[in-house]
Amino acid sequence: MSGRDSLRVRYEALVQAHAVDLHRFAYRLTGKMDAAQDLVQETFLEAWRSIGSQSEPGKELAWLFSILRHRWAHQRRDSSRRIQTRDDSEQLHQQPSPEAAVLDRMIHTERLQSALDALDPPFRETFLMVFMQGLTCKETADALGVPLGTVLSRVSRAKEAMRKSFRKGKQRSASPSSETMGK
Amino acid sequence: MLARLQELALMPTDDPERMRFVAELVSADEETRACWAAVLEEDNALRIALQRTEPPVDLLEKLQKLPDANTAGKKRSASFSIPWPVAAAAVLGVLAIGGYLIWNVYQPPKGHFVQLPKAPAEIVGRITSLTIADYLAAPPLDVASSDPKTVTASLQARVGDKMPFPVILPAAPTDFHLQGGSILTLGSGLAVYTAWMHNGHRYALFQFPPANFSMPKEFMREEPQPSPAQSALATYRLALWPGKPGGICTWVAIGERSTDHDPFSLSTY
Repeated sequence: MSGRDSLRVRYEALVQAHAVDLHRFAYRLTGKMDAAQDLVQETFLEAWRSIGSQSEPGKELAWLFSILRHRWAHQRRDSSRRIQTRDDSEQLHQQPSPEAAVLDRMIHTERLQSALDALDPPFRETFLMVFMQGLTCKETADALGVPLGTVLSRVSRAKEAMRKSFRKGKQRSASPSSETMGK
Repeated sequence: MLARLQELALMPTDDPERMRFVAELVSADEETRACWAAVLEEDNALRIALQRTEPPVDLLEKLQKLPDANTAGKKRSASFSIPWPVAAAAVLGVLAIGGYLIWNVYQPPKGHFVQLPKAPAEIVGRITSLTIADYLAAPPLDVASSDPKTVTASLQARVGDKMPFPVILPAAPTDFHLQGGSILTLGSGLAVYTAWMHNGHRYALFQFPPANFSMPKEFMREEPQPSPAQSALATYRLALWPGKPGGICTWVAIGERSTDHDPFSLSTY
């Protein structure tokens, strides 16, 4: 088997084993299916280009997640995409009341994602690393280069913000949240 | 107290501190035990809910093809700068291709026959299951009216510009009676659902963006058969077809198989 064939086999195994998990993570991170797919494709393209440098068995998933988060950080600099995401999210919440019944159902379906979208990116990323990637808080702190206390605080505040968002979805007449973490 | 429990719940189950706490729970008061159980339950519920997304069915296929156009070990430079000769060549290439395309647009059609592809079986299977489930569940109608204009206007107002096409109702045969419609979620996005009656039998029509299921925009009209594993669904018939023009939406019509009228009269649009 040639060198390229061997790399190709490794690459295909990575796709089979981890693409779905990465896509789920990317969707929760970006809040959009097409953006998630782009992000996962960029991640695997980057992985393919540098696959020869990844030689630690058992660390492949962490390596892929690390690429994905870097690609996402790169994308976040595109402010227009960020504004578009926020506009969509806000539009969903601010429809006029006569259609409240329909919108309640739509919001119920997407409430989790809307709550995630409303978090500031560092909070969302930290929360997802712990709750989706399955990292411990210590591992998350190491990966992000922040103190453990910061991770615990971010996760706790992210969960609280999501609880508030869920409550707000259930009680549409409730007063506006004073949450400071939102975009 | 709650903050501490939440912190402990985030620790690995084999963390000594967490293990010590769990061991001491036996002698803890009722409130602490209930609070701990609630924290664990909330965390589990969040983890499960976060996993509930369906990746596009062609994701793996697309990813597996990436290496075909790229070389392993060839990383882009950090700044993504492009040397000017390459940029100049790219500009010339774009101009040449653009000119070729413009030229061809203004040429009369060659008249060759284009064979539309079949939609991928896996996608069709998912659409079949989901739309039949919705049909059986008979979602409540957001607008109940037999007037197509009223239903169209009301659904359009509800969905706004969140779909890349206008809400359209087909010109159904006169003995199909519109009951009303709803906006619901189908696949990864929204869909327009309308309910119809014919001779006491119910029919459902769905209009949704192909992107909800990573559908190809153009594909052959199909009448998918529920698989043997879906034998409970065998009493229903479906038609699946791309909307005009250019497959901007996908349509699905569902009716009972035993009815005397072909439900796919709805698929004339």
